[in-house]
Amino acid sequence: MQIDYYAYRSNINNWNAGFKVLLAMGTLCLVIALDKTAVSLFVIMFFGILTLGVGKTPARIYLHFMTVPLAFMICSGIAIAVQFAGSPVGEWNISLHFFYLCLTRSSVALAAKVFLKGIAGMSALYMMAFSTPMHEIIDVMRKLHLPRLFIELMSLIYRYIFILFDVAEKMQTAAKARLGYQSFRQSFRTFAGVVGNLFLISLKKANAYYDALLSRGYDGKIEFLADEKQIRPWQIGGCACYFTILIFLWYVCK
Amino acid sequence: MTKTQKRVLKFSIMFALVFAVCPTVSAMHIMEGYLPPAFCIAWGIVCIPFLVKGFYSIKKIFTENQKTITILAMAGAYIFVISALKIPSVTGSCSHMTGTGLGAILFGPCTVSILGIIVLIFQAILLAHGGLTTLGANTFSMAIAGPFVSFGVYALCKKCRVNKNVGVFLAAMLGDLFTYCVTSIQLALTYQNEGGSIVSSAAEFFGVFVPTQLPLAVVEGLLTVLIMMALENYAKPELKAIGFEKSV
Repeated sequence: MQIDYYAYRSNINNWNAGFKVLLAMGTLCLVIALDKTAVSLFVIMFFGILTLGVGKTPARIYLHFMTVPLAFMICSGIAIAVQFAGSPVGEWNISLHFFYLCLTRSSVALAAKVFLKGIAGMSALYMMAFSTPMHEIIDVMRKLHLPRLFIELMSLIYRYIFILFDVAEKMQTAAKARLGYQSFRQSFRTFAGVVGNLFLISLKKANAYYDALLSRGYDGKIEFLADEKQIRPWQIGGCACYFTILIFLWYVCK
Repeated sequence: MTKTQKRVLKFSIMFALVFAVCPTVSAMHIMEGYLPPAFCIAWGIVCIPFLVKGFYSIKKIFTENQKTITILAMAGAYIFVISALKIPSVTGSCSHMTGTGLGAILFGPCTVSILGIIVLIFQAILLAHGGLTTLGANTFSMAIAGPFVSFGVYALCKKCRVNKNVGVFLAAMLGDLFTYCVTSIQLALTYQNEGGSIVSSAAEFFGVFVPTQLPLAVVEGLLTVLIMMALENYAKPELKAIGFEKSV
């Protein structure tokens, strides 16, 4: 949950939230729609500079978040690159007696291309996440006229996540202090106990929070306020230039 | 600790030792940028009827009793938090539960579909699990297919009078496994091998994910059983309050 903390500290936090969401989502759509390695590389570079250089997010944190889906990247990369075949085909193959594991030049190229597309998508998404606190993103969704109940649930869930994390952490510390994670056997039992107890506490808190809502005049609607941030002309210009370059790159590579 | 709890615990330890569990970070969220636009949109459209149904069922619950808003929100936060807690494992590598099985058993599959999509948005933005363009595909596999299978298995076991713990275990484990199956099929449809059929590609993706995900599914099943036992011991009134006894 550190990401929220860095979002508030980012230098591009004062940009208009809708603008950032539009930039990130537009890029995401273009990256997967244009489907070109050059476009992906440009996007990785552009958003890397934007997040690290302009936003001043610590590089260590940025890299950490980029490597979170590493397991998925490796597994799916292997599955895309390797093919089963009855006869030795492709540039490289390993015989496993019954069948062959084959790597063809095109399949490896495809795996690399998809890998880059994934990284490009992540860097666009993380420009947004590392500079826009969650409540501003939810506010953008509200402006898009998503159902009111959905937006209210999202805002409340977001707040409650921190409360429950806090409780879970305290319970885990308490269990640790009592040698709850001493052995594998013990940690299994402790984990189940913590999760079960968390459920109880969350329901108790839900009751208390409903009382709190009522005492503040809750009548089926919750209003959340957000401060308005202006879009500057140079931001629109830069955004237009950026999308033009993306299209241009795609046109050149075509 | 009751006798059954002890038995489950013993079984889980045996299992863990036999398989030397070393699952990696939950690898079944399809990453940002991995699906082409047509598939992103198609999977999104597949989700819509389920989400609409889920939304109306939530809305109905809400209009009947406004108090449920905080309970629903807490349920969503609960699913998010248990999916972010580290599961104990021998090797110390970190892995997580999906929590969808437990959620489906506790809150019902319709509610979980809406809570699930919210949790998936938060996971994509806050934890780097999954992505926004792949949200449709991930929602279908994790917030719709998995919970519906879990709930179906749970209800079926209850109807056939199978031991309750066995039912919970099967529900959580099969729900988990089915999620991986759906993810594999989604990836296989997208990255079909030249000359290979969809089935062989799906088998290939599943084969790559199985070594990490099968032990994880079994561990999740066992943990869910232990959690449900703890809940039945300590939280009977609360379970009744959310309509758990009624729902099946």
